[in-house]
Amino acid sequence: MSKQQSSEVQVKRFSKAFVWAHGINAIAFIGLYITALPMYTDWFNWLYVVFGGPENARLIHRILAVAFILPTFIWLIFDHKGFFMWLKELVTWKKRDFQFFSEFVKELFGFKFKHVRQTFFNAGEKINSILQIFCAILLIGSGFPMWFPDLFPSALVQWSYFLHNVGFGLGFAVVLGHIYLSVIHKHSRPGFTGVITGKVPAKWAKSHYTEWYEEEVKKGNFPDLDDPKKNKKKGA
Amino acid sequence: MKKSVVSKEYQNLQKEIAKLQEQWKKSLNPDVVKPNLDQAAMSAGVPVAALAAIDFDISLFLQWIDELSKLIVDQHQELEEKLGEVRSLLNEETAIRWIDEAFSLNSIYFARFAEENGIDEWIPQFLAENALRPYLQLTADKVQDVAKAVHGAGCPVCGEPARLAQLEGEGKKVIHCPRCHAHWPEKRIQCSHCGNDDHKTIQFITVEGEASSQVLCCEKCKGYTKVIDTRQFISRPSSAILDLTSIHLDFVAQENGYQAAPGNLETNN
Amino acid sequence: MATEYVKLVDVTKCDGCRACMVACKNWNDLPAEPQDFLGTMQSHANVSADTWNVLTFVEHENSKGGLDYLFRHSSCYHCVDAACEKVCPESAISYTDFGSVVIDHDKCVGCGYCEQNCPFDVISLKEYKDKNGKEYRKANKCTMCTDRLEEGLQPACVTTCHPGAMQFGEKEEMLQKAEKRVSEIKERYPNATIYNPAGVGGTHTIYVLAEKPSVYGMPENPKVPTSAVLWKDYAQPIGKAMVGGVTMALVGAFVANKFFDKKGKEHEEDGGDRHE
Ligand code: SF4
Ligand SMILES: [Zn+2]
Ligand SMILES: [Zn+2]
Repeated sequence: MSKQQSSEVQVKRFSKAFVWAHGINAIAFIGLYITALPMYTDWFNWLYVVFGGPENARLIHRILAVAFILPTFIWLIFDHKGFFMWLKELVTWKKRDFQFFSEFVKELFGFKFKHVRQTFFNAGEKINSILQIFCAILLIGSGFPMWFPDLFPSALVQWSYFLHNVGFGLGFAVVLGHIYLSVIHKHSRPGFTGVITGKVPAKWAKSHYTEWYEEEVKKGNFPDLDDPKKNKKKGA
Repeated sequence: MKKSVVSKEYQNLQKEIAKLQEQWKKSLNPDVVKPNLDQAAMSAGVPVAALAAIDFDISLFLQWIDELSKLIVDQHQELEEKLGEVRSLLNEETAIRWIDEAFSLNSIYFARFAEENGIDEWIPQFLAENALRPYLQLTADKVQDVAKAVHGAGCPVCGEPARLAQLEGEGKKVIHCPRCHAHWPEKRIQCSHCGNDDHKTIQFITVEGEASSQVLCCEKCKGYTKVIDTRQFISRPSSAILDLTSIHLDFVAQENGYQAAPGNLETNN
Repeated sequence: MATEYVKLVDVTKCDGCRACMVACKNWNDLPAEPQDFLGTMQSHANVSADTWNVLTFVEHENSKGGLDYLFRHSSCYHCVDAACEKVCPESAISYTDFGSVVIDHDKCVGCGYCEQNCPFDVISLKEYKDKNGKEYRKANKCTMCTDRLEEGLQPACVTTCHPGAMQFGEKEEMLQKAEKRVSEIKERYPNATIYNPAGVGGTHTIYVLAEKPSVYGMPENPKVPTSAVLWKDYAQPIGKAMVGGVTMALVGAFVANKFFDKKGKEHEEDGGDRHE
């Protein structure tokens, strides 16, 4: 089998709803970070000028905060099957999930590694999801008392500042890792185009998410890449 | 005060000198000053110190001049030689003369002395005046309660023209002599030079941004008095320092055509 | 370094004339805020962005069953360890050499963190409008008349207090005076006490109180909120270190990848796992 051939075959990985939800979420998240940075460290005070003053930065931050909450509902409403599958995967942990990590570290630093069979989401993505859900709850939950301090007891408002700050630091680290692995790290890059187009190369899907891929083959949704007949035809 | 036009350095020198003078005064036996409280002379405006018998200790006076010189040299090394020269010119006889001339504020004498001996003009009188003050201040301490001020005569103790008043208590105006530290009360709206208390011919000049001071100006005699509300101060300076740090008020008053000692110009320098 | 000063408020000498409120408005050019009658002798419920000190008034039943009318000049305490300064993300709040806590309006972005964290509830945001009609906010509170202190003058409220209920001077001297005063009035007011709460490191406005602080509506044990300490002393620095750490790790990973990529070119045939 030649590389070129197999990468031509594309399979559908993400639903439209997910692509939109993910996109809005990502943009809102980045915007929220940029509008928050000048308050996090003085280094970024020049950003106030970019936004036209702290009042505007605050306004944009709040608009984006709403945009940040929306995607969950978009995904839930337009692709509830995908949404619940994701939730189910997040709580399902097997031996292969733990094996994933030792191989992952090798891969991350460019050593030789082998793929551990994974379902739709690999263990790393699951960790990423869990951390991001955690951060989102932290950030959203603390954001409300900060936005409407008059509606909450002052102790709660005070703790919210702390939690928002924790969410900021943690969220940044998690998202940085997430972006690195999808955009910059070469083995994962098809995942990045995939989250925009919804489609990924079949070969890549098969090696990265073997279990999921084979299941879809059984259902007749995806081509069986190991089928000698098919391969021959393609290769001819 | 921040607003003062006098340099911090010079203010500090003056504060140190004031401290020394306070020590010197305390070291004096109060009996060296024997005031002669001649009521007639006093009500004619003759300063008490002029009538008092003061037993000056010449060697002590010279010692004080040495201490003063040292203080100045500490801040201005370049003056060491000059001050040494002055000291070498001072013997008992000149010291007695200095005391006399300093007492009557005879700047002409001191200027000539400086010129004849080729020293900076300010040095002789500066030294003499500051070494004389402890005696004047001691005199003021002794007669403070009996000396009565006469309008136009300046300080009832040392004769220095009146130019500085402070507000006390509920707003009582008290004139303070920056030279001998004597103080005496006066009506809030009254000229300390001619006694004019007609509010129509008295006006106050204030300086923008200065909440605690004003200058009382009299249209009748063209005299002025700085009136400072030291009740607002965090710490009250001595009258000498207050007079120094508020010197910009003198400039303002003089620019407006008023004088600290109207009609008495020969003693005002 | 300037001297550290303290404003000593002896509430037992206050006769409730409110001259201090007027003096404060005058000196600081603050607009009057007409208030509805509050049903007591007190004019304003609490200090605000335009009213930096308020004379509070409580009726208190004393131990003998009689009524005491308690007045108190209330304004910013100028904490030694000020929560407002701690939480300000823009370093717009700072300590002066005099010990006062001041706000730099050029740096203030109106986030209101200080307002939410002050244990005494004496700092608040004021709405402004710029010439284009755009609204913005800045924090305001008593400055201890720092502009006057710089000129060697006492705070306006202190100079205007006729019964001498307020004094201003060097910290140690004021503390001694407070102690002396409390021992003087102990007989008349057995609950008399000095209010200089340790939970905020002490304050630069110190009270001699005739009764327990809570009687005057003051917190008994005010402190810098624990959340603020965790936030500013732990979460923020750890967060910054973590962000830096993750960035470094990823840069490391990126460089390592490039490096092994070159070395690994020969193995490409058996490295069938590379899918690009
Ligand atoms: S009392 Fe409140 S506003 Fe004043 S210094 Fe303390 S924390 Fe800041
Ligand atoms: Zn005099
Ligand atoms: Zn006159």
